[in-house]
Order: sequence, then C-alpha cells, then structure tokens
Amino acid sequence: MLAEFSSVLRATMLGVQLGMTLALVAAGLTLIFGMLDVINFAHGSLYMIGGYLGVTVASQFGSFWLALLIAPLAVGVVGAAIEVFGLRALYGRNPLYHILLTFGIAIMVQGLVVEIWGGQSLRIEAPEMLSGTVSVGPVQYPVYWLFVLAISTVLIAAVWLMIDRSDLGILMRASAHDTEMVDALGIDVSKVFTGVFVFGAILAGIAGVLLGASRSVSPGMGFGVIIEAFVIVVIGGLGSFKGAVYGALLVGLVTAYGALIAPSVTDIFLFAMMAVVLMVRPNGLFGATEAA
Amino acid sequence: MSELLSVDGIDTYYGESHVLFDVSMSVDSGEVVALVGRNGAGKTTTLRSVMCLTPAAEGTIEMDGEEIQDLDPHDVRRRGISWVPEERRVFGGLTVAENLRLAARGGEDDRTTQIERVYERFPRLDERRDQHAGTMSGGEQQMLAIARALVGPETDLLLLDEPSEGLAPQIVEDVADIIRELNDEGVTVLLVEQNAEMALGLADRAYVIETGEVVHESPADELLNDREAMETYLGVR
Repeated sequence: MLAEFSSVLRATMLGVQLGMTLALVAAGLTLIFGMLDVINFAHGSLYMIGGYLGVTVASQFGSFWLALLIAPLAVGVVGAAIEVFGLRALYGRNPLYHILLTFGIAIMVQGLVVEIWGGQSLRIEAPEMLSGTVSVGPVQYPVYWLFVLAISTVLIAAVWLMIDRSDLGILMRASAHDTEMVDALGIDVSKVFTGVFVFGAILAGIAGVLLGASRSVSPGMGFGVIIEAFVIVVIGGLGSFKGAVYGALLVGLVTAYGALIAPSVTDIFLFAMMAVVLMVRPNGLFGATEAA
Repeated sequence: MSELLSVDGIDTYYGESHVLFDVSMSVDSGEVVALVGRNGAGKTTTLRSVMCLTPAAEGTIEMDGEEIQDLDPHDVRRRGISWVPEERRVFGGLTVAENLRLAARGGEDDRTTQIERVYERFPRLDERRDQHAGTMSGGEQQMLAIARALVGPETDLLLLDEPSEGLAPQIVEDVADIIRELNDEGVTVLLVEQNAEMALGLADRAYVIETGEVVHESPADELLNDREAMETYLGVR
C-alpha cells in the first residue's frame, strides 16, 4: 500500500514538473499563434538549439548556470533572425507558407545539429549543488528535478502575471484580437511581433537547457517536443496562454501516470485525451472565448 | 482656414479589384466634412487609404502639408490622424480601462491625466472601467471607440466611419452631440455615414462618392436641401 502511494506521489511530482517545463515550450507556440497567426513548426527546433548550446556552453565553461543564461539568449537571437528574415515577408499570406517555411527550418536545424554535434545523445552536467536526492514523504526525489519544477513554475507564474497585468500584456492581448487596430492606434506592431517571437524562443531555450540536464539532448528532441506542445496547445485552445498552462499540466500528469500504468501506450493516452477534448470543446478548453 | 488634409487623385485597390478612382478631397482645419454615398461606394476605403491601412496605389495624401501616403498606419496616427472604424472594433476581451491604457501608450502627455480627461467627457465609461468592452452595448462601445481615438498622440483630425451604425435614434443623437462638442474644441472631423441626414446636419461641407468616384461637392446644407441630388446620389426622398 505504502509502495503504491509513494509511486503515485512520485508520478504526480514528475508530472507537474514535466508539465510546467512543457508549458515553457507551449506558451511560446500558443502566443506566437495567437498574435502572429503563424503555426511555428520550428518551435521545437528552438528548444533543441537551447539544449545543444547548453551542452556546449556547460562543457566549455564548466558552468550549468552560464549555460542556463547564455543558451536561451542565443536562442532568442536565432528566433529574431527567423522572424525578421523569414516570417515577416509572409504575414497575411496563406498559412501554408508559414508551415512550409517553419517546417523547412525545422528540418534544416535538425541536419545542422547532426552535422555539428553528431547523432548520439548528449547530456548537460547538472551542477554539484543540485545533485543527489531529497526525501519528500516516502519518496526519494532528485534535487535537480525539484529545481526544474521550481524554476519553471516561477517563470510561468511571471509570464502569467505579465500578460494579465502589465501594459505589455494588454498590448499582447489586444494584438492577438485585432492587430490592424493596434497599429492604427499608433503602436508599431511589427516590433511587437518580433518581441513575442523572441520571447517565445527564449522560453523554449530555457526549457531545452533544463530538460537537457534531466532527460538528454538528441537530434530527435525537436520534433518530439513539438508534437507534445501541439497536443497541449490544441487541448488548451490555440492562442490561449492559460490554456497552454493547464494543457501542459494535463499532458505532464497523463504522461507520468501513464508511465506508471502502461508505459508503452502513454502516447495513445495523450492523443485519446486530445480527441475527447476536441469532441467536447472543439476550440479547446480556453479557445476562442478569450484573447490570450 | 488652412488646409489640414488634402487627398489628391488617389487610386486604391483591394487586391485586383479597383475601388477608388482618382479621388480628391480636402479638409480644412476646424471643419466637419461629411463623406456620404451608398453602400459599397468607397467611403470606408477612402478612410482606410488616409490611414494607410489600404494604401493608395496612385496619388498623394498630405497632412499639414507633408505627404503621408507611404507611411505605416502607426506613423499616420502619430501625425495626428485618429481613426474610429466601422463596427467600432474595441478590444472585446480587454476592460474599458485596458482599452484606454493601450491607446494612450503612444502619447506624450501623462497617460493618467489623458485618460481621466476622457472619463470626464464620457461618464458612462467611467462607471464601467472594469467591464469587458465586449459585453457593453453598441452605444457604449461607440463611446469607447471615440474615447480611444482621443488619447495617445495628439488628435488633430478624427476619421469617423459610420458612428451611427446599429444605434438607437437617441444614442445617435448623443454621438452627434459628442462630435459637435469635439469640433467646438478644435478637432477637425471627416465623417463617413450611411445616415446622410445625420452627417449633413453636422457637417460644414460634403462630398458624395459613387462607385469609387467623387461626384458631388458642396456645402452640407446645400446638398441637404437639394432634393434631386439627395435622391439621385443617396436614395433619400
């Protein structure tokens, strides 16, 4: 009985942690869709670049913390380049163009990553102070995972507050609703677009470094995470930030509990859940009724 | 009176379809000018061309003597032209206060002062600061759309697109009063209306536009009293 309780508790903690980290990826995906009307297939690549740059910085300078700082910023620069030199020319076009461009970028990034870092999976060295385990009730839980849970939660809470309260959040919600009107009010929307894209890229980069030290970093991780992120965003409602957070928690928990019950069919649980949500609420849990 | 806005021979397209043909008009500082015509004549497109939302392919548009037809919409707004669009387009998911905070961003003045000033003018909005704009009545949304156009960068010229659309007659009166008040305070107005009688009652001068061409220009009361012209151009008997 005790053994069962402890494995459920452990799965719950794991699920919440995974959910909050996935929320970092899904948040960017959903915000970019909500404001730019772009389905960004390259979002998983940004996450992957974060992981690989994290590996390089951490091994070059021997510091996880430096990796956590520098890699996401570098991913932000990559994001800016994609938006300014790629997507900007395609706004207002048929979404097929966005999909072709971002999908093409995703494939290129995957090829480049194999070229530069090789095909084997790598790992970021977690810092000494976060090694070992700590007991949470009957569960021995890795300190590093608790750290990932804490930092992801703090970041998501900060983004939530920012969108809900700040001027920037108001601007983001208004632009998601009617960009032309925002432009006509005297606000340069193209700068907002770049800003949101870079912001989403940085969040994905952070997730890449965080998970790079707990899972591993491999050339398939970009496409792996984009599928999870799409499930989250579809469940939560395309364009809704709140939806992405709740959706991510749901996906995290289902993945963790699924691993407990029937590890080989976890993915089926996820897609079944998505199908059910879509049947009951076609716009997702928070879709359409709310701007961001 | 000095010329504030001058539209000179513009041609505007939506994709392949040619909407405005060699349209010219001018608005002097302090005037209320009405632009009337039937549905689909090109009234909205004219305002969109001035805002550079649907940029003119040919011709020039000058504000205060400077060409603006190649600017982006946000730069047009910063030159003192403010647009109240058809169907109001308030940000429905934002509260009244958030709508105004957003619009006041681009302004030089202290935002709070600016916003308090519009609350004084629109007490209904003051009462509804925290209400989501999407849940308000059409009249209240129209007030918010006008209020939103008055904060932010200085507004010298107000472009109003169908402000009476879908409103009860009493509310149309209120909107007309507000336009009159604003004009008395020095705001120049270019008013597009289906409701020709309301527009001509407010305006100093009027242009009639028909299938993308300006077909008539006169003082507003002259057009209002010209029964033949009213019937031919506007279908008003």
